[in-house]
Amino acid sequence: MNRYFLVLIVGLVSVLLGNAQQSRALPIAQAVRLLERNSLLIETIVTNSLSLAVEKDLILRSESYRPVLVQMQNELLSSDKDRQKELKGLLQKLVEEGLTPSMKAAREKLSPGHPDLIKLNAMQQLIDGLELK
Amino acid sequence: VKRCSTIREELLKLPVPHRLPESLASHVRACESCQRFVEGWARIEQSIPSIPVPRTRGEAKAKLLDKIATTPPFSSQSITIPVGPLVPKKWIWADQYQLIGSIAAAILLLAYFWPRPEDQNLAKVNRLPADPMLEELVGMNVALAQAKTTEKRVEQLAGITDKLQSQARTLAKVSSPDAMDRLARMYEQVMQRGLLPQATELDPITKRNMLDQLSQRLATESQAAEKLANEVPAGSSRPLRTIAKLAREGNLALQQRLQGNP
Repeated sequence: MNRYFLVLIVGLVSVLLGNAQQSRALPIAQAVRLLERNSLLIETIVTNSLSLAVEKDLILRSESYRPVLVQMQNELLSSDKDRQKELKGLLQKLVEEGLTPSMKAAREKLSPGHPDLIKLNAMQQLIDGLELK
Repeated sequence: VKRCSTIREELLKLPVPHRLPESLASHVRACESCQRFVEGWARIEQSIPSIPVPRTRGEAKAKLLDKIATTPPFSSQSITIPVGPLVPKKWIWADQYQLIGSIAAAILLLAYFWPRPEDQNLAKVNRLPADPMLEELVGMNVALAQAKTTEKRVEQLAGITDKLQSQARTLAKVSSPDAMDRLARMYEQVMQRGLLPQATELDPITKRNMLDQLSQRLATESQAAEKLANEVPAGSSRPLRTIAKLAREGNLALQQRLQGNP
């Protein structure tokens, strides 16, 4: 009976060692592919970040998110499950921690009927149409 | 007409396989399957004499004969019904060996056919993991949205330029010229439209440490990018030289600000 256990253990150990030796990842290759895949999105986010750094007007700051939201939503529609999960998480963070507080602050400064409310409402409609969950 | 199984039962009652009564022989002649059965039986009978018999001193045989001689004659009252398994113990062990062997074989087969690392790597490469750069840039974007002071904004803008130039340097040897150009272009935008204008707004006296650190960082980035530009393909060297030049200029601008020049 010991022989059988020995064969079993040796076999399993060989297979596991074989797997471990070959399981090296390719971080550079993946990083290159990620950059190629996300470069447009990265460019849009960097441009938006720049607007947030230099723009003082809350309405313009809020509107500067529009290209990011539209692009992310488009990417979401053509992505697999893993990427959808990633993008939804990022989109949610941008909306909840970046855009929404900015819109809220802008809304508080506007009197009812102010023409800029139309711009904020349009942004809100865009947010409502997003797949955040 | 008798069935083969009945015929074989009757055959096995015979003392030897080569003397079949006509009632059975007529069936065997007509039935190929029973012919093979009889041939196999005959081979077994022929092989029995050649089975090696271990040498003994005859003690065991004598004991067995004594036991038979002293055993009382058969009586219906002495019949006992076996409770345990009817299969000899040796056979049970054989079955256990088979079972363990089968399990071991099944596990090995499973391990062999389990998706190999290279298959998994291929699948991983095709799927691609979450992009850490994208995540960091989103984090800095949110921090910029929440930043209330120039100092905070400079911190985040410096983080973005740092990320862009480090990505460009990391991938310079393998990335496409297009991707490198994009990184350099973004670096230029953030540096010229964001970081430098904001950093030069900082008070050189109260924020001296911050400006000094930023200046040193830009000097280091410039040198590293310039050095790497000499080692990479032409498609990557130009964007790296652009980054090096921008970082050098940024460093100079900050140095002037630190020295009190506008």
